Amino acid sequence: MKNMIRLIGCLMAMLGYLPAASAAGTQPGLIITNPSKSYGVQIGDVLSRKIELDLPAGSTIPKGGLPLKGSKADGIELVDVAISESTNGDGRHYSVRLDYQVFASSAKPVVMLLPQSGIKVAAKDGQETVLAIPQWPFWFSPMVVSSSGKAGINMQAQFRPPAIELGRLHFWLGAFAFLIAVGSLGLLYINADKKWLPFMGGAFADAHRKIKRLKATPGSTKEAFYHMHAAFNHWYGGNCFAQDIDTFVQQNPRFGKSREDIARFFESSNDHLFFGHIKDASEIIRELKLLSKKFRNCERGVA
Amino acid sequence: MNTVSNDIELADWRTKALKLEAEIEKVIVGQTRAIRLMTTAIFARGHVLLEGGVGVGKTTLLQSIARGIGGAYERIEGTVDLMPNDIVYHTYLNSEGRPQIDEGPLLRAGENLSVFFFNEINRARPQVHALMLRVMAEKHVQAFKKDYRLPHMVVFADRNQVEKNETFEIPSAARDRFMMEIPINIPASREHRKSLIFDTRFQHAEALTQQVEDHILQFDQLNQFSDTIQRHIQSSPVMEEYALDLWEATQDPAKFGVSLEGVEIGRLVQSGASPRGMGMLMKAARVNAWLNGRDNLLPEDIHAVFHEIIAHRLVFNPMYDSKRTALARELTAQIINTVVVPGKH
Repeated sequence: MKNMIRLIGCLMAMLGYLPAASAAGTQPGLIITNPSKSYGVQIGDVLSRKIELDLPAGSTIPKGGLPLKGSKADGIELVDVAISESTNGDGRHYSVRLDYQVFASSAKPVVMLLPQSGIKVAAKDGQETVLAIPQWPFWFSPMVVSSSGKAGINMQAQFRPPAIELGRLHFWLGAFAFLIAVGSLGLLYINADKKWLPFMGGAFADAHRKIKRLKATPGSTKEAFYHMHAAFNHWYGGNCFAQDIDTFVQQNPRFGKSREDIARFFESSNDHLFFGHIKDASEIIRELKLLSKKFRNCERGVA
Repeated sequence: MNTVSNDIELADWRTKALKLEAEIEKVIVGQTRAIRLMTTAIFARGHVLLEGGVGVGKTTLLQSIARGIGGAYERIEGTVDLMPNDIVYHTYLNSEGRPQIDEGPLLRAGENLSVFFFNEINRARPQVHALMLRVMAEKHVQAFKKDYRLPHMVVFADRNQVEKNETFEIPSAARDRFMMEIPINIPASREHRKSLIFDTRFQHAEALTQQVEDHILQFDQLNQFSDTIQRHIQSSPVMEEYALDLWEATQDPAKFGVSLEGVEIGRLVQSGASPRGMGMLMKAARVNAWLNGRDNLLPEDIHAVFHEIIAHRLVFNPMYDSKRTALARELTAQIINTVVVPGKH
């Protein structure tokens, strides 16, 4: 491809020296003006040559003296011929325009020629001469650079986009994904009531979850005690009261380590619910949160 | 000052009550719970039905109590031919051969009567029940053209539950007048049983009773002090809700998830505890709290007397009445075990 471009460049440089309008020095009174651009011609383009001709008095261009319209040569057709004449002193001045249209084609840039032709001139004495119009070369440029061939020639190897370093992003993506997963599990653990979730089905786990959600109001303390007693009742298999603590621990040895805490809970429950010893609601809720957490750990066997 | 003297009075009486229990336990073995319940009834001023077989020491127990609290002890045997007037008076020919009318066992001691024992009450006719229940409720009776007041009397009645011939079942309305039905069973402990049959001091009931210190309590002050206890012991709103839940559970046990094996629980109870019964329950529970040295009611206080106060008040569907005693005990136990406190109100 690069070679092709270089070749075209060289030829264009050479053509640059060609005269855009050349005078037929050997034929006095004849001026030929060729198209201004001799390159980049494509199929369908029309190239016009203008011929200025001064004839002496009595000389004329006879009928049929001009190139025949529609004549073809190497795919280049003379599509129009126009002539105009005027007096020039004693003689006559002719202006002829020849329009050629390119129908030839090539897959590569090639040099084509506007064909050589001639204009007949009849002298006063009837003698006819032919003024030659020389060939004019120009560069035909195909509309596509390459011919149809194997696409593989033009294929380029694929490369990984090198613009962004993804390693760091991958790290952060992983880190945030981990946080989201952990957070979701945490939220599920805190808020879900599903008994099938591991470690969530316990009575004290349930009580702890519910107590954690309570706000410290006088009414909420009773509810908190309710949840705790419900958990004890669940493990005891019936209503469990202060006098049942020993039986409770015997039935459920996993709570043995927290016996003192259990006694403290029942004492606190009696104080609050039955003896009317009013304590600060936030303090009670905080204490019950701690106790329920301890008992939950006993329940899970991790105390 | 009033509060301090009140506290002293409560503590003083409590010491006496515990001493009474200890004295009775010296002569009655294996009946600790029954003695505590009877002490509770005495201080709650409630009448008592005694449940149990023959020869388990009911009379000795009551005589010991009467000796401990002071006042007179009277007893009458329920028979099929017993008439109401037999309780109030009896007629006989005196030494001069003239008919004489004397006051019967109910009036004989007058206001000094503290313990009246009606043995085998269900052998007596309903007319007798009616008179007795009226006296129990009103604490006075009209006779000999005057009004006899019996303000300190507590009635203990025994039901013969073994024999059904020539007995008259006490209707539920009459049973409701009794605060408690206390079981007096043969002691379960082999040691106690051994004592009862080999310890010679148990062979003479009268001599045994004399071992109890007399007049530990002042029977004529019990009514007043009972009111003091009731005023002093406080119940929290949670306890009140709990008592209401228990009451409702006696009426509709299924609502609270109570279940009994082999029993269609929805059809078991025809009538639950009455308002009077629940009032007596709370009265006895307060006494229990006081006996345990507390100023406030706990659920345990209700539990301590729940079965004995509620069971005989329940009216069961006739299809279950043949197993009444067992079912009543099971039902009250299930109610206590199932109704939660604090409730979710």
